[in-house]
Amino acid sequence: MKPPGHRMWHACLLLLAMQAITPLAGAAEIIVSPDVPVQSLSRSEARALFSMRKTRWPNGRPTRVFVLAEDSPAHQSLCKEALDLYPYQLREAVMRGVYTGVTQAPTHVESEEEMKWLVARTPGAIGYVTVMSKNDHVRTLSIR
Amino acid sequence: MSAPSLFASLLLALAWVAPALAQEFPRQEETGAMQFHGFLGQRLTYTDHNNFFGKTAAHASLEYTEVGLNASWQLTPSWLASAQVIARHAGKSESASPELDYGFVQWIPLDNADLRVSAKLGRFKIPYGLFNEGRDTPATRDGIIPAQSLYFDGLRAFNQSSSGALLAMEHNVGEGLLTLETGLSKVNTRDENAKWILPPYALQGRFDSQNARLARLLYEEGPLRVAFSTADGEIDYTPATGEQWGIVTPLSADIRFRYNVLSTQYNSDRWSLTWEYNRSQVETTATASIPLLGIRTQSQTKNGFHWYAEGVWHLTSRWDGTLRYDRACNDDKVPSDWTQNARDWSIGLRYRPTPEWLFAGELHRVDGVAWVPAADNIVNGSFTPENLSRHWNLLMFQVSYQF
Repeated sequence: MKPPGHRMWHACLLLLAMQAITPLAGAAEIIVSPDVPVQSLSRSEARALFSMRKTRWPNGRPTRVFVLAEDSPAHQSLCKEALDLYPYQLREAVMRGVYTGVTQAPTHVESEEEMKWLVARTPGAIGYVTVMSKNDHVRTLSIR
Repeated sequence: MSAPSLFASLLLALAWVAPALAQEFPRQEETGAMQFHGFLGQRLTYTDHNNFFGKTAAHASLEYTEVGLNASWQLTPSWLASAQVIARHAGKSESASPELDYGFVQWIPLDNADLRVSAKLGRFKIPYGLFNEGRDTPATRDGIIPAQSLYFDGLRAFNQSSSGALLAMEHNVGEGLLTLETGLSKVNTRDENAKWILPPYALQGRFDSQNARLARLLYEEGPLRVAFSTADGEIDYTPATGEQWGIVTPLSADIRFRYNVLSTQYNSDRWSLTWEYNRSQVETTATASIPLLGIRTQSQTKNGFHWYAEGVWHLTSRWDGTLRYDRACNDDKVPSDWTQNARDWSIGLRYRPTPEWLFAGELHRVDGVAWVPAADNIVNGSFTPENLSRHWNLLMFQVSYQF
């Protein structure tokens, strides 16, 4: 029988490993279609885009916003880390815009795969995912 | 067609059309950015005393139904046209006839990284406090009923939407966003409860709004929202031919109003705290012909204060619990007159099983009748607040669907 200290040591190692991996695995990256003419966004611009207030890119082309379900890990991460908002705050802001006629609603997608597929093929598109692969025809944007 | 049957037809039509519309317009990019959204809400109301939008006193009433349908068209990235029609059946206060809630064109001449300027022309929701624009949609309303001191539903039309022009400037200040909205518009005066502005008389004439000046300064940064809203305007009353107020013959009247509202909200992962405070002034001037005395003009000014504090607990992403204290005083000269005051403690629970469905329950314990809707409490053709019950309880359940 192994001494209890040994088991605790393993648990600590596991915790450390989880802490190292979790932020990487869960963090959402903002993705855009290849034609989008920006390389990075300020947090305010990102908030304006995902709350549907910003409707055009610097070249005047329309923006197209794609979102996942509110309880998806990618949406939670986008709100809390990239936008510095709680998901319910973003939901309330979008709903206020839609039911007072000031903004339109974003397009809802079912999965990260669908998100990447649509963002890659829609001019001016912006979305977010937690998992990227080499074959995705989308660009990532950083928050500056 | 009577109002209830028209309303039932509308409800059926919307329920039938909604899935088809959603099917027809599933994606922005396929449709040239035309979108349709809407909602349906049904309330069950019970009060132990006093009627609240329906015959609710010692009676469970379903006389509160609301339906709305909106369309928006992004003509270009800079031009948006949108309109919403709503129909509400709210006891005797609202008849369910469809009305234009908003309908405007919005132009965004400037939109860069730090500054965005937009202008609206048409009928738009009045920028007032944190919840006025969202008060007519169950999903964006604060509770089944918003705090009645600030968002008085008994004279809803007057502060719901107005027609004119509104200019907005949004400026990024560090990590925050500063928004200034200023406008000039005529407020909507089509409200059944306007008849009872001067109780106990059933006014038969017409209300017309002069241009009101509106402004709101809003600062939002992460968890914080702070706003200051102000307005002043005038509504003129033209009596009907042969109208009598007892022995008095009214000739003209006008109501001047002013308000200043301070709003703050702090949000955290698990809870939101909101506090809003309104200082208002309503000056009523009436000119009338009085037997033996001739033509006389009389003015009355009421300075009121209205505030509420609210805590919302976000128990999970689907469940919210609410505790609110709401204080209304329509005339600070008579702070102990319960017909001009109300103190309302309420608790509520909301459940959102899917993004479309919302179920809510709310219990209010009220002292005072300052915001009891007049039209639902008419006895023998007159509204006499003194005949209402000072202490009353209000229980409501609501189910709503939105798309």
